[in-house]
Amino acid sequence: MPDEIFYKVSFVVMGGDHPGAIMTVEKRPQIGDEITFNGSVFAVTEVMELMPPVGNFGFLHATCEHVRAAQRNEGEL
Amino acid sequence: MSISINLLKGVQLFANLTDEELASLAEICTARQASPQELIIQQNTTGTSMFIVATGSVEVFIRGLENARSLVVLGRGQVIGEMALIDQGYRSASVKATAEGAMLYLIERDEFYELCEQNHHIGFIVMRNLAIDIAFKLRHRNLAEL
Repeated sequence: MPDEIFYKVSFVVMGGDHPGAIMTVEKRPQIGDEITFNGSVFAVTEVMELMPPVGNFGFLHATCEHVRAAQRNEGEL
Repeated sequence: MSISINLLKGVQLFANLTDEELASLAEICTARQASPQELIIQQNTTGTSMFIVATGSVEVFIRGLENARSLVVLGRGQVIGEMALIDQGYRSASVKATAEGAMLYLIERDEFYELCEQNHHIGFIVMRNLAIDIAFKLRHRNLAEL
């Protein structure tokens, strides 16, 4: 069975002074996806390849914007 | 609590290692739970270990003379303190767990070097992946500061 594909993603937040986040996920982020990190929910607005893939890892850059503070039941990625 | 090979497969630092090599790495990983906001790495101190973020997230920040600046939040599958494996210098930044805390696995430099002496393929692959990880973080920082 082939190895699972992972995506190492650089999430950059537009506006404000949030430094963004780097996470590894199993599903390629799509525009409109909501992601949660550091106590906030963000919406993905753009996704592009940041570096060529190596093995079963892809390297992506996602731009996102703040949507709301995360509720308790909105776990981190 | 030992780290699973499946979890190590989701760590880019260990991409392209065989299951047997991942099992060898798992043997030198030690679990450590970081409480919410717990300081994990202190800037300008020496350290001999690196950490893998298994669950939760951590915040990397640097402290100047007057204030502190957040650099990035690192989540599942990311590594922190990895420069201690290379340059043996002072920690370049501080790292604390975010409000949710983080489950970490620690690898000591001496144990890692010993493993690499026994299996040069592990050493080559991890050092190559480490260079990719540092390049990725640099690209992230460039984009975040636009």
